[in-house]
Amino acid sequence: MSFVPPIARLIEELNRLPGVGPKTAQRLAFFLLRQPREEVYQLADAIREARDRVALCSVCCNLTDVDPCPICAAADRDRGVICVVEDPRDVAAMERTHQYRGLYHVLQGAISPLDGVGPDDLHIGELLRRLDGGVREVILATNPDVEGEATALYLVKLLKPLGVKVSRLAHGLPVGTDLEYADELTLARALEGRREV
Amino acid sequence: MAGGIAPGPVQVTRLYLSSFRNFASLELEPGPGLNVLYGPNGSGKTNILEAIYFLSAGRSYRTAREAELVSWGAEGFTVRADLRGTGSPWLKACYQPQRGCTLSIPASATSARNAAVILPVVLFAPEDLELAGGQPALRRRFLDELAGQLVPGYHKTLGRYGRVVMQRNELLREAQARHLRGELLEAWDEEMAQLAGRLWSARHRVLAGFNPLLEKCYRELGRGEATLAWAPALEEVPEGPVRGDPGAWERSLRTELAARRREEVRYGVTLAGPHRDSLWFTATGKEVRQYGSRGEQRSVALAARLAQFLLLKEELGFEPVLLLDDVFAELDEERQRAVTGGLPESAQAFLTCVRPAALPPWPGKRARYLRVAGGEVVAEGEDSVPPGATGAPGPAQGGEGKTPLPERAGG
Repeated sequence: MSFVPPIARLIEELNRLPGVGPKTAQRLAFFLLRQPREEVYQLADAIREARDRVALCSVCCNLTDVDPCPICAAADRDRGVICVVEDPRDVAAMERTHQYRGLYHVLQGAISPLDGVGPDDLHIGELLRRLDGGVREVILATNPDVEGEATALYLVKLLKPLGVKVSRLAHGLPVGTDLEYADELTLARALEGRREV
Repeated sequence: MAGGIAPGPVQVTRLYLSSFRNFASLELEPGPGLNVLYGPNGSGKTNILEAIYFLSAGRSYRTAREAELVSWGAEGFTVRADLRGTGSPWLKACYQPQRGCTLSIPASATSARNAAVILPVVLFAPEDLELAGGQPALRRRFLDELAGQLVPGYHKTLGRYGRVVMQRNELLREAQARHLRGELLEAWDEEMAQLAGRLWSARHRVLAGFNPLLEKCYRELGRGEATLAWAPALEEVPEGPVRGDPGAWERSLRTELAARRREEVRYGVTLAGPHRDSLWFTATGKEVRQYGSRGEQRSVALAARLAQFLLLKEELGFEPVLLLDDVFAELDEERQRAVTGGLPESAQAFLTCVRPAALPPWPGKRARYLRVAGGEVVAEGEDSVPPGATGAPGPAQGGEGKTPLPERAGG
């Protein structure tokens, strides 16, 4: 099926989004074209603004619009504990438990040779540099999938010699489930039951 | 295992198929005993067996590509079974191209979250001939299927292990081109060793239970002794009681991986581990694959399936569901008797055939006849003489205007 070039281009761009197939891309494109002009501009502006104003926090590598991010800047958080996660969405999931009062470090991915992701592609150097000032414990909360597990095992090998206490989230988490989907209660329990490695 | 459930055979009381193979929509009420699915070749009899197998195993035994199971023109498929005698009242499998396959049970289910334990099945299929005579991978698959039915989490561990080996192979190939940090390879070694240890110790335990039953079943076929022999792809195989301990395997593999690092980098591939285990059947002292006749290969495969049934019954405390895909057509009378005699009356069975009249007698088995044609299934009667049997008017001919099945030459 052929569309006039501007529509075809819109469909093509939408199609590049994760989880959006060609059919959905078409549906979204025609939905947008039927919306009032202002609403579509609002969406376009939101995308542009988010992309322009959001950057990595220079401390924890989470996505933020102020640097350092609100969690790193908060006065009432325990600076002696760092919870290492793969993805900003994992920070949001942990925060929803209201159980954790320490800081975070976001790796922005997990080691996966098949996807060409090695340790240098993750924010591991930044994590090691944070360990100078009074950090007592690092909690490894990477996903329980194969890549998250390998990332955690790799970090254990780097962190252990530095003399910091390292623990891994207890697998009260259903194995094979991404952290993002784990409900708050399970996650809170996993946090309590973390074990030193 | 499943607490508070009276032991008895697990039964499918109702089966729903939606957009599965040639069935746009199907609802089926099987009987508690023998269910004979009959109809001409290509009518979809085997697809019903495949659907039940899929619910149990989370995959098909005929294809690795789920998309092939989706009806022409549909997006995905759903299969659901209502169950009796097991830890969950139902089990459902959904496939959508975007999301892949999901198996689900109700939140109220008391059983382990393991479909193979909720609905254990034993499949006898024409492909079984290759079990004894074909590639080692087929025997690994047989053992994995059995271990998945007996050891909670085995399939999940196997899936993770396969992924780790793929990742590790990629890393070994990378290491050919450039130096990699030792810690990185060690991290993958460690994860691999942990998973491998669990797989090997499980395989050991399963084979220890399986082999005596295989020997018994093969002897009852009048053939002497038979075993499924196993050589783990590991140099220092743990001996004695520690074989049941995952840690013993894990330590041995970790040592071997460290020692063979250079060799593995040179080949760019993982050289030890459960994915390379050798498995072979022996019968009366010789290897069946190389030295066995077709007849012996057939008998060994049959004995292996009967032993699978007995082991599941013993370990789970209830009888699994039997799926018999056109098996009798391939067997001589003696082996037919071994099947009908070796499997207890109480188990629920699904059997496909072209001509029910040609089935061997199955003493004491209540039968329900289900005619499959044109993407539909019609119940033709229960406890009756098979429809189409000469000189015996079954309910099929009982005045409802249904014509008996036209007999067709098989092939």
